[in-house]
Amino acid sequence: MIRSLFSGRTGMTGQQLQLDTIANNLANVNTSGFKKSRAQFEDLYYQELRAMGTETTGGSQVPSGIQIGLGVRPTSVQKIFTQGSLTETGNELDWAIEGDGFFKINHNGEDYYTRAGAFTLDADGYIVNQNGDRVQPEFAVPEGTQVISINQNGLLSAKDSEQQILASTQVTLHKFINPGGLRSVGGNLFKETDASGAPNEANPGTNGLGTISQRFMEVSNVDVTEELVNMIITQRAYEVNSKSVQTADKLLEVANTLAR
Amino acid sequence: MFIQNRLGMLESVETMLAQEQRLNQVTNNLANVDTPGYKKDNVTFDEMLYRANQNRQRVGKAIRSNTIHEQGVIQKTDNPMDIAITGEGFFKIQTPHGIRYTRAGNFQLDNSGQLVNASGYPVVGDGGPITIEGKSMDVTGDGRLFVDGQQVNILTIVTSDDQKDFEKEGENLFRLKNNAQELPSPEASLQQGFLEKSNVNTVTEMTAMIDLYRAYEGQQKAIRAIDDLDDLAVRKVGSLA
Repeated sequence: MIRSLFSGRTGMTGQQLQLDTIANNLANVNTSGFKKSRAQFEDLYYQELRAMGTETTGGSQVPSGIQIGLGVRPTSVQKIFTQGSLTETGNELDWAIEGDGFFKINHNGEDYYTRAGAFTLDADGYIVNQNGDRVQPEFAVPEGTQVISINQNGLLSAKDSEQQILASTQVTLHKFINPGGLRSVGGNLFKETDASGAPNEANPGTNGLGTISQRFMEVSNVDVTEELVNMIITQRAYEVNSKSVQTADKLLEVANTLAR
Repeated sequence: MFIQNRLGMLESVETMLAQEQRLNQVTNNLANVDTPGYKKDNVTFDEMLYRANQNRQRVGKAIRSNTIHEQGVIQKTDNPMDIAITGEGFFKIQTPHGIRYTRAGNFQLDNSGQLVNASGYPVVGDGGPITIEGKSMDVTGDGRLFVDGQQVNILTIVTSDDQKDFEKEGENLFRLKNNAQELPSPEASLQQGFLEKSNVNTVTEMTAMIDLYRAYEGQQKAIRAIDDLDDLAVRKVGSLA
């Protein structure tokens, strides 16, 4: 069978993955702290039909051989951790990270990391994310608190109506040497992996970590125009790959009609 | 007459097979229309003297594939780990099989902070593998690599006398042919935050596909015509009208 049938298929499968990635990016265009992904491709191995420098029946040497590629395959879907823009919300529990770093969240006894700093208080006064998981280090706002404030360097304090500090703590951020290696587990959460490396914990604004902006939210870093353009490209790429499968089929049809 | 016919058929079959290879090549180009740093291949045909036996020679077709090292489109990605080369040259990649070369600048960091390519093989600079530990990474046009303002390494961009010395290996990598020597590439310049896309032009590939289809069809017709001649010869010659 003509190799094109199979290599054309690899192209179509690759473009499907690309479209899946784009669709997910677009679906999360309004998800705070969402980071877009990008599908990456590489060419598959090459089949050498005739190696370079081999001798022909005529006795001369082949100057350049025939290498036929076998298509494409996706290598990875990489998260792109560029900064999303910050929008002011006025909510004192909306904390955006300006720069690198993640908040640590405890979910069912396991550590997860997030950039979605849209927090609330639970029934016990703990600062939690939208799923009710506590932000680490855990901090419960004491009774009588009127104002919760956090400065750029993560100093969190709960104050009463007379601006008296009732309780305070230091919120830390976590940095990964290779954030692209983090695993997305949904719910705006990431989990550390061997590829991401261990988290480095430090105060915001130190050790290359970003600072915290209270009353701001980091919106998704998805650029709709870019995604739509990519979608057009993907659709066309899918189409041309289907054409090569079709052409291979037509060649086979011609060959099949040779015998009458 | 008889032998002539058989030769004609043989040549047609050969051409059909060659067109199939051409389709394989076109398909591979189209499959890689979105592969960063991919360089298209094209198939060319040469006339080649075959010696069937001592007394008989014939001219046949030889196919040959060439990689076209034309510059691909440079796309802005804003990802600081994406580096595009403009001009002739390749990045050096350390693989388990030795040094390989690539134009795909979609790099990332591994868990030890080393700059690696998309398959996880380290990128080689002047001072060996490149480790990034810091807040920001900057690459200048001539390949000097700064981390937090401190120069840590120089990305080496190499080429050879003839770009044909670079053979494709898959995984976006090229290897250098046995005798070829790598040379520094003075004219290459780097752009950080950009990615070189594939240099495949879909219009060219689609026309090639139409062209090869018609060539294939034509050869089929030629085989049929020869067959018709044989048919006539078998049925009509010697028969009385």
